[in-house]
Amino acid sequence: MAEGDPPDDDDLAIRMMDGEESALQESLERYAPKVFGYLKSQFKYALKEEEIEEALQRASLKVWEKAETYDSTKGKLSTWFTTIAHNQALDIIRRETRFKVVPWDESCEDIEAIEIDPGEQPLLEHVHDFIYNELVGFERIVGINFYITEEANPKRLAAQHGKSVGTVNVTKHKVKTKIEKEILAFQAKKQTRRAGTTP
Amino acid sequence: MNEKYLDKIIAKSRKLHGFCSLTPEEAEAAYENAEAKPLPMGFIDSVLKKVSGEGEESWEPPVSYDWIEETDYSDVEDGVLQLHRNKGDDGDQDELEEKLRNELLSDDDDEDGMDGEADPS
Repeated sequence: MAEGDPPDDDDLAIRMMDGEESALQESLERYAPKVFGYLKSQFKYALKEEEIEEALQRASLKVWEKAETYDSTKGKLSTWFTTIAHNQALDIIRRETRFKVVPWDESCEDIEAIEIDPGEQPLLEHVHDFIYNELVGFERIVGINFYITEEANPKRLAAQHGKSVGTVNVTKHKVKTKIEKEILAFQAKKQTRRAGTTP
Repeated sequence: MNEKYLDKIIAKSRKLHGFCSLTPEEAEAAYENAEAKPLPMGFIDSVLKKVSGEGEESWEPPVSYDWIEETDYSDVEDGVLQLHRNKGDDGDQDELEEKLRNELLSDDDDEDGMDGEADPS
């Protein structure tokens, strides 16, 4: 690195490992605004503004505490920071595993098992759009939270919206039934269309 | 519909829309496509104070109490007033007072009577 060049990711991580707070400051100045933008856009319907700020704060502290685990061969510091922030946002929705960082490799383990057939994509898009655009009121809130993670914590939703945990669970059940009907209707429509085009 | 099939469809849709834990490739794309947003006022300073051990002055997200609804206690208040009017005259006063106290402290939202812990599904 030439003198005067901005520090690279390895340099920032090493300085953070050495306890140099200015390296954390530089990392946050450089990357936090976009990570914050990502959290705001991805979790805007599931987390309140202060919860999004909390996710960013937790992630910033984790970047500092776990700097020694950063491996630049696996990705950029910005990517690592985004992954941690994403996991912190999910943790807030779950409200169980406070301040636990899911290690990079393990966090990808379950995902690789899910394969998406391109033919299924319209249905998967439809499920997303139905939850976000067709559900209303508390059903929409519950639907979005449980869509984002099956482990969404009903107690958090109950407290935020002045409902009982029982009401959240009943609403979740109702939403699932509605999604199920929607999937069946979508598949039936597709079948009819296919039959109509078959000579 | 088989519930496992339904859960699988939802899981696949969840992954398609980036809500599973991110792979490095997905995280990179997420960061590159994100729009920079101004950080909350004093955010970086508060994080730095926290890591340097000046935790007491650290920034915390403001707590919202928007979800707390006003509760109507008028019926309970009527009972309390009745109790005061009859003070000393009623032999069951202690029992009535205890009942009203429990009523005031109970969770009015407990619609199913199971303290919200039962899973109806």
